[in-house]
Amino acid sequence: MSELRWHPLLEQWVITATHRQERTFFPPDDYCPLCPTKDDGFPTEIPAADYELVAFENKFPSLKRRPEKPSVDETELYKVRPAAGVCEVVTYSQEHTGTLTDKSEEEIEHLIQVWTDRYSELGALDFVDYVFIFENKGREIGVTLNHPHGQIYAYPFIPPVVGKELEASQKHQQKTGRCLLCDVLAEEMDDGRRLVAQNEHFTAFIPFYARYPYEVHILPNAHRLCLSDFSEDEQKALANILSIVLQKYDNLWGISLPYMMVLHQKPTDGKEHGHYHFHIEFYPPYRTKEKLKYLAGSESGAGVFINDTLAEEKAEELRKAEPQT
Amino acid sequence: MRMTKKTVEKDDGRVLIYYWFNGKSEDAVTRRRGDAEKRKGKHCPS
Repeated sequence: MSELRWHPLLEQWVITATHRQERTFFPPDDYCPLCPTKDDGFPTEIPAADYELVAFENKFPSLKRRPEKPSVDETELYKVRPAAGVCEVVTYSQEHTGTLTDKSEEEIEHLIQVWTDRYSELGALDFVDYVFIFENKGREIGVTLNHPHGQIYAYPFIPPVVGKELEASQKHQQKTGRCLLCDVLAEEMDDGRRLVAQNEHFTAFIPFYARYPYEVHILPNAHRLCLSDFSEDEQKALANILSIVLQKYDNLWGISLPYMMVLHQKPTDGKEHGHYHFHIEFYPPYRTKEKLKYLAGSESGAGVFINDTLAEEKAEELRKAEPQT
Repeated sequence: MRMTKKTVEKDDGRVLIYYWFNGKSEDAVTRRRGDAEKRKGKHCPS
């Protein structure tokens, strides 16, 4: 079962989802639940074999369209709510092996169209305030299924990280009359040392304030709030720059680089949020080919990240990695 | 680039959405399969 428990110190919800303890954990390849069901094979999550991409509700969801009653009664201090929302899995391919990096730009563009469709459809649900699209890649991140896939969490609230970004963006707008991330982008372009790749519509860079050594952000050059704002040309350009960044990551050390990829965009709570700016953030956990960056005491206990590297140097490494643009 | 989709409900009530692109769809796939089945057993004239 799952429920939302209120953390009164951090003023945010914690999702408890006890059934997730039993979720599928690295099954044998023949029993992959994300492969299409073969005629004489194990019945997977995907009954049909003829499709290009598929999205489906997670079998072990943290949030549910029809959640159960919480396991405990709330008190004045300890609020509890049913875990209403939607959790989806989006498979990147029918093939069991491979990664998003292996996909063509056209295939990535198809994925962007699926993301856009899910953002609109889930965002239209009256109990959904934020559609969070993300990918966990690699065992180091905690992935439990090898089949290339991403996820979508449609939350009934604005998650705290995005909430903080929204607050900062609004303050900046009120102070300057300008979008905060438009100004960040202008400063990064002006400086140049942290740029990783650019095309007509998007810029990828390691930000001045990067918390992970190879943390890349991708921003649309124009002020766009969400996936639904993109034209067809912008979707193509996003596919292009995603492909470039993903290839650069893998070519850095010649390994399939683990990462978390997260999409930050306008909430779907019915408010304008005109001060916000769509962007994608990557958090690769490796700080060298052999060493992981752990979220230890300072990061987890105090919320203060220690970055052992200079963003300018890491960006130069990524610029030099193929494909060079 | 035209996207088509089909939403189905799985046996346990969960929603699943299939996506096709570039003019492909479940109907087109079914037609192609049907055409392939009809061609089985037929040989080119010598």
